[in-house]
Amino acid sequence: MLQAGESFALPDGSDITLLSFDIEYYEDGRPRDWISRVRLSSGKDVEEFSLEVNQPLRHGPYRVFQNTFDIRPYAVVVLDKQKYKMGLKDGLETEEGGILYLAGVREADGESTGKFFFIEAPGAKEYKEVTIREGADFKGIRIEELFTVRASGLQIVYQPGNAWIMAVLLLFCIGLAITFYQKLGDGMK
Amino acid sequence: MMTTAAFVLQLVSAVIQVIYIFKKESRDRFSHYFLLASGLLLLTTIVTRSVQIRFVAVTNTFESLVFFSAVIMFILFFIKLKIQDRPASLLNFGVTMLSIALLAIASSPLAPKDILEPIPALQSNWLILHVTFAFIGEAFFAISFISAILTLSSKDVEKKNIFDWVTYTSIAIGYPIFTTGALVFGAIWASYAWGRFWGWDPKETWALITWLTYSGYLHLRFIKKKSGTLISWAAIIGFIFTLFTFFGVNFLLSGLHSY
Repeated sequence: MLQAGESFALPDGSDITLLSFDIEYYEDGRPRDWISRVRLSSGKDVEEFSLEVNQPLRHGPYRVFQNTFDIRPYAVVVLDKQKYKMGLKDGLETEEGGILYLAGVREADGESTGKFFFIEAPGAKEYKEVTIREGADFKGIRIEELFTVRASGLQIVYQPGNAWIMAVLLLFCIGLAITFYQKLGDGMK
Repeated sequence: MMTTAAFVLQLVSAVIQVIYIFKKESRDRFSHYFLLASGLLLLTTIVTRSVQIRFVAVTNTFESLVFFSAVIMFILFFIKLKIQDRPASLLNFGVTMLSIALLAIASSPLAPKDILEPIPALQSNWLILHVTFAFIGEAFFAISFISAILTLSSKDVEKKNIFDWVTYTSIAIGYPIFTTGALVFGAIWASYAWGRFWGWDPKETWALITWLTYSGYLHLRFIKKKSGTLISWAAIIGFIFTLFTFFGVNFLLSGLHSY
């Protein structure tokens, strides 16, 4: 799972960097496409590609697939004059002992937003959603910024014999056609 | 609306077919035109939905059933043109009833009729080839299923031979189409979508079982030169597996093919 600007290395030493990740939605909120713009650096060669579902990136024996995605909420908060960056499911204990959690909630339009949930005491089972605007305080915690970041889930598959398998499938079809051409001629009279 | 009209046309055709089955002295000259009209209406339904979603509309259970039924209608029409005598009436009636049952399922809550654009995983030209070829092959298997039942139930040797020939011909035509669509195109699509040609997903496994059953039928026919009772059972079991691959896996077993 990569966020824009993050990289990972393929086993052959090449690097793939996620430049951007876009999600397109239909009007009813269902996903239309997930598009990862990536940069492949292999030795001195640097190329950019668009990865989509059903359109993997081919690099030697490797295929890189657009596999999944995540929308991750983040909040920058201040507690006791200390600044913290809260991520998904991170909790911060308030001055009164309760815990403020951050979670991503999918909205009706398909987008996710970061929302806060509050548990009165550590270990308590009941929690409630609390609306805290940017710049506001909540039980001693000041919310400076609340935002979401999209992350793209890429899958690397090692497929060294891909062309051979395609050739086998083609031969299989040709063999099937020849067999049936002969047998149908004999048997369907 | 068009699907309902197609359903009614099939019912009307079935009624005409029954009348002529009992009216032994004259030949049914009309019912297959109702089937052709029904097939055209069902095809129009697919085209209309395809225009609306800007993709070939074979991406959910309802659309698949409509396409399946349309192909059966076209095949039946050509069979009726090819075989004019009475056994064709029995065959046509049986297959028409099967198609009516498929459309009844399509109209039920089991198959939501919402017109929805395809999700990213389904946006592939390989999907179109995979699904359409698989269902064209299965439509031939549907014909073979009814003709195999008629082969087993007929006492008249001449009729038995005609039904046996229809069973064999249907499977012989449907098998390569099904093989290419369900297995070969499916495997190629899987390699583009998921990075592997085969994954033992429930639908894949059951499609393989179906394919092996029909392979067994053809082996018995081609190599062992068998005909009649034994391989008619193979054709019947093959279609039961075909139905399970479609309905059973869709509704009972979750997997990558659960759309």
